[in-house]
Amino acid sequence: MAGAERRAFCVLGIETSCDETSAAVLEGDGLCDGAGAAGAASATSAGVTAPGLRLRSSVVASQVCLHRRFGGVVPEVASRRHVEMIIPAIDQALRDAEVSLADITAVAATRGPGLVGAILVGLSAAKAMALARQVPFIGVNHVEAHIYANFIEHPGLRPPFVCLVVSGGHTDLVYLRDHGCYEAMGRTLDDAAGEAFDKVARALGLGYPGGPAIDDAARGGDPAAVRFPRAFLEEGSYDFSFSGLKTAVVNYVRKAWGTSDRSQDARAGATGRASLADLAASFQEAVVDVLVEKTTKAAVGRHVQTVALAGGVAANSRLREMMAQRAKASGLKLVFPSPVLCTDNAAMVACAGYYRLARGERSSLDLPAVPNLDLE
Amino acid sequence: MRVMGIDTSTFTGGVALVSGDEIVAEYSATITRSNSESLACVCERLLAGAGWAAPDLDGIAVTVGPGSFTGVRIGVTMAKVLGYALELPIGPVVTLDAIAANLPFSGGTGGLVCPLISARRNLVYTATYRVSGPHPERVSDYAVRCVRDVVRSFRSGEPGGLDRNRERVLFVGDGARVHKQVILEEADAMVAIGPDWCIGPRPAVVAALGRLVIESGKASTAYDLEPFYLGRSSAEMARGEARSGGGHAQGGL
Repeated sequence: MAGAERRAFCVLGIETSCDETSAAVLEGDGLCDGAGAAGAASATSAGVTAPGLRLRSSVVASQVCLHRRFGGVVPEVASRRHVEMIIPAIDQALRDAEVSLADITAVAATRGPGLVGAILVGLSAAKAMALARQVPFIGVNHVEAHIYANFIEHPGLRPPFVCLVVSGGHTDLVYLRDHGCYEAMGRTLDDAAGEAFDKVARALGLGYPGGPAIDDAARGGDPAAVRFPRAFLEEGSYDFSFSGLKTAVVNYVRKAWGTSDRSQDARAGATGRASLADLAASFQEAVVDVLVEKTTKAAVGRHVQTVALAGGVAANSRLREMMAQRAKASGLKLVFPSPVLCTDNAAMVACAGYYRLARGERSSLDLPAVPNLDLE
Repeated sequence: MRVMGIDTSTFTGGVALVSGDEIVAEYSATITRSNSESLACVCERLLAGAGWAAPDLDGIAVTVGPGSFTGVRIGVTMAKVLGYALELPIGPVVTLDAIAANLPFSGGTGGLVCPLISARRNLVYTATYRVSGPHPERVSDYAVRCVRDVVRSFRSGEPGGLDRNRERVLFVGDGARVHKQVILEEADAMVAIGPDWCIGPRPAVVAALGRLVIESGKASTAYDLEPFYLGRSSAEMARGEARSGGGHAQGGL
């Protein structure tokens, strides 16, 4: 019936695993088996779509300013802020969505990986909400949630695909064979890519957070000015390593600029040495080269037609640009979320929870937070 | 008035349901992180056992600290969301008050009760109470202090010390057990250490005290309920953590 509103699921998502207190409302009509429409029977749920998936609201109370002076996230400060912001974030998400608590049919929250004290705030909030409203609760893996950010804006997207999840805490290459069915193909052996961005930004005097700062500084810079090392590791490896690159940049800066005096930047430029923009662009190029190369190889190796990006670093303009070029050259379709859905947010948590709930999954109210949770 | 009392602020934790003066259900256990995470499950079980549903509640009582930072946050967050979702008033209870309230009418002849909650290293969260009636009357500020200094401050020679002829002090709380040796070393005859069954806050006591707060019109809302960390501010905490390398260490468990 036209105009009739079906609210099979209206999920409140909550995310507090690091330094963003976030709440979101996502609704949809449940899952549909797309096999009929495709004209082929399917034994798996890979043809499944979520019709009518609508993001009604997404509120992110960022703590970036709070942590900036420390050059990184301080766990106790983050946890305290989450307690202050959790009710305002939930309340704003409901208002923005123009729904009342009575409309919420389920609650989803991040249970890991992340900072355990921070996760526990959102997880406790979600459990209390489920208890009070007597609705189902589902715990969600944060990395899975990043991947699922792609389903919010790409209704046609369906597994299998390969996804690069790249942020301040993660650098994971994941093969999503089917909904809820993952193969961890590779991960960083040391620093996450976003962590390398933060540390190099600090060395370059660009401030925190480093990702957007380097992205901006690199504009107009020559990405080939300095050939920084790329760690591809052994043949066929999908793992990453960024600590060598980070050290190379820091050493270069010390040598070229003398100690860490960034005020010599102008002089460095004048004497023909790499400018700040060149350095930022060269570093960024080295990171992006490795990410793009391995992601493309992984997609080709798994014979998938689609690659996805996710996580805060997926908002990086150079990564998007280079990945788009390589994907096109390799005959792959590329998807990535809007920048606001790349960084930590509860919409992606609600989305990952939505798919699990629609498959009939529920979590018990004693579900623990797991700081180093693997994809399962 | 039907009140749910929640405590996860120290090494014991639990939930109680009270209806007026009657304790309908109470659950308490020595806490590990994993069972403070299962608090919502306990709430669910107690409600079901009592034949109540969450919307039947008229108020929430919760210990707001001082104690384990993470524990306090779990309890306070649960209370905030229950208060928000069920539109209920919240009665905040200081953990030290709840422990002192385990010992009503214990101050017959000028006796004092001094709960000690273990903090970091040799520090304890503490306050001093006169409990001559049913409810504790606090006679000092809440403080985080070195346990040795706390015990010494009661010596009769000290300024503000006890009157040897008519006063005694009873130390309770997990800090009294952890620092028993120091207390016995520093104490004189006027000091006693409470038995283990009165060392932690009882959820039913928390519910009762929270109910008094609500009935006196001083309830908090989901928006203004705050943890009572007592001690280092988050900025000091951050500087401390930044010095020690920052990173992703778990702070404050």
